[in-house]
Amino acid sequence: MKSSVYPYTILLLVIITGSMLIGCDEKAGIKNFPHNVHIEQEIACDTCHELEANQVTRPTFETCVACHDVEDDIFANCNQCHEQHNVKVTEESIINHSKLLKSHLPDGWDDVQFAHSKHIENEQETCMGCHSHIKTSDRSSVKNLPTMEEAMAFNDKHGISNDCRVCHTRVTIVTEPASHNSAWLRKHGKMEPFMDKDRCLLCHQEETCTTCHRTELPRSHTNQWRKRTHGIQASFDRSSCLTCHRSDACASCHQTLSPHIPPAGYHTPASNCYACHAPVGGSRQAAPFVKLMPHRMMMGSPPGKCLSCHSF
Amino acid sequence: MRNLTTNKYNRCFVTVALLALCLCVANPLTWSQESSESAKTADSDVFWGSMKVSGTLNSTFRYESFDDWDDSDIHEYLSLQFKDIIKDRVDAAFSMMWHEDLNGIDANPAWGDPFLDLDYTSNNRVKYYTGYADIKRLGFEESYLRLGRQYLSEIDHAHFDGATYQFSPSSEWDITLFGGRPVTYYSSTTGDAIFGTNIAYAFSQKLKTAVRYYRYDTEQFCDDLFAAELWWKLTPNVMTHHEVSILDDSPYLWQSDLYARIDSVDVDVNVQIIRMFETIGDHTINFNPAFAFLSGYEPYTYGSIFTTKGLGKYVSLVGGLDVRETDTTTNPVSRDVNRDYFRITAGAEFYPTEQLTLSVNGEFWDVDPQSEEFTGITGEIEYKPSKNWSLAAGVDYGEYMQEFVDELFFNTPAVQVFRISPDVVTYYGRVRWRPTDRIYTAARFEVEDSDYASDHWYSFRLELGVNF
Repeated sequence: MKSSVYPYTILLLVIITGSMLIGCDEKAGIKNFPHNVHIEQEIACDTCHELEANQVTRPTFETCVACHDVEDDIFANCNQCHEQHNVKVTEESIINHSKLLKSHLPDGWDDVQFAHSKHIENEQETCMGCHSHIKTSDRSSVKNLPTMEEAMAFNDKHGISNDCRVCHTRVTIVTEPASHNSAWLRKHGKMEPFMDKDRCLLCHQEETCTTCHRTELPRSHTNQWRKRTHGIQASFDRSSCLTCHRSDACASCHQTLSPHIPPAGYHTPASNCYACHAPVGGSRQAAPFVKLMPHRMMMGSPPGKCLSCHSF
Repeated sequence: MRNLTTNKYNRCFVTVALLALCLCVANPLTWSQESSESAKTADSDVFWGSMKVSGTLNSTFRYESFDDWDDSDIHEYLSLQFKDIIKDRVDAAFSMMWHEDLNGIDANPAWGDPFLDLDYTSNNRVKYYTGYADIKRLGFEESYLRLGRQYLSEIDHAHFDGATYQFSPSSEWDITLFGGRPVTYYSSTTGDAIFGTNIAYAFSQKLKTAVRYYRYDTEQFCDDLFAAELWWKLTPNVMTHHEVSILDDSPYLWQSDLYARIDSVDVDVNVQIIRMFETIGDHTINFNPAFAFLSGYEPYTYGSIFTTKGLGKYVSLVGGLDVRETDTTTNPVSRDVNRDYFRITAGAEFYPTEQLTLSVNGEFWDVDPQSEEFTGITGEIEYKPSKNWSLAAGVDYGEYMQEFVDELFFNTPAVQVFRISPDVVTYYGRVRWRPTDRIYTAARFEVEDSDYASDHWYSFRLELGVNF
């Protein structure tokens, strides 16, 4: 294999890298809105954002031109989208950007709705209490929105339930996140070091890992696997077996089923199958392996010892 | 086992009774409403009054058929969580699996019974996974003492009967002390002990480190593991994890993991590098590399990369590469069970409509020595007519290609090498129905067609679960 590994490796890495670079359109919208500049000029949040029907509105183009000249350079970036969609920006083109922005929110965010008014009613909380990142933000970004952890900490602080439906309109406890696609089944083991236990426990219980691992077999564990090929796979790489199994599981099965291990007395801690059954010439044998056990030496065993396991 | 008519009525009766039991228990809304109502009415420190019970009951009936044989089994999994037995003070949990073979075992299982597996041979019908009580706020505000049968994920998923005390003297520190008797299901642990500690310190939300030590002590062996770990979140989307460990005073493992998410191109990347330093032979079962069957575990270097990529709303791709190089050894036994390999995984999912998913996944192993190979391909089509229903059908193909020496020619000049390549095709269908958020059911039918077997293998599995 060694001679053939490297061309494969290089080819695959090229394919993987290439496929990663195939880009998707980044979410459009106002990319470079500098919240920090506005905050530095002590412009209050409600100059641009109004409270309307329990929700805080997003500014429209009209809001912007209330202070800024439409010919101002700050609108230069607008043309990134407007020219693309063949829409010319003039003083008359008063467009409600709030609807546009909603369609350009990150995936899943349009599901999050809650009453801003209730948060603002609480005089201990300010806009910055949840949107702390905008103090230094020079662009529109998801980072300007509170994370779920921050929102939940807020709820905990104020004795508000953290049930999904408090903030989410569609997401419930059985809604799988986007990461839990079919690839998740393969990679969640590799993700274990990075898993935030508290986040998992939002939907799962502490017992969930055990429940699933005890009731669902890996896809590879077919009938053929059980009967024939698991030993081959174990010789390929035993570490994946050891994720769930321990060596006593092997022994438990193979004390009953062929190829079986000898009972205690012949199997000592220092020996294993290969102490008696060895490969020849560096190659594998068809099972059962060639028997190298010096039977004649065993004749010195106590009478009846052989016959306790073997018959004539 | 298994005359088709044997115990037919008993089987049907037991199966129906168990499924009926599940349906009776499956009045979860009533349960949970009562629980939450009682929680609301319980003001505070009332014993039992504030308790909330939740859990899972999963019942699976499995029927298999091969030639003139058949087999029926039932597996019951029960998990219970009791929260606030004493409000904010005492919680508890319990989980177990019960397995029943509904139509017995063949008189001479070693030779004839095609259905034997670990469940049968261990003769271990009931397995208690956990059963513990947590006493919280004991000495520190953030602390608990856990007594009973438990897993400890921080300590290599240690499973034991004993006690764990976890506490945080400040928000940066997280300290765990534990000890007890290890739990195994297939061997005795009488007189064995496992104990140790894990100390974690968070420098910030982005940087955390931990050291752990534990001893696994048995009559034959005694293993000491010392490990140090580091987690570093470079950005919200780029995280790394590193771990080094020493086993019985010798360097054992080094492992580094990287996860990166690149939103702009919708890509997830996992990279892992592992180096095992020393040969691992017979040890306690937490470290034993299946020595009795696979001999010693030789030092190796392993690297893998696994990526998932979205291509718009209609396609997503997965791809991975694993390479392992074992340290050179001239011992034929070691070479035979410590293989170098090169593994490619690749897959694609297509979503032509919101209801329909088509997927193709494959893997290929090229293994040295003897240039053995494995090729596996799975194709599946899944249709979700509503959020409660899922229908799927698929086919799975696997081929192992192996070289063997014909033992009949052993010790003769004419060593015969022959290859076997069992072709196995598995066809399957699956229906899942989730009538409520709390109840789920699934049925799965499978046919295995192997050129090694004289007949097809049929399997049917019916599952009913309740989360309450």
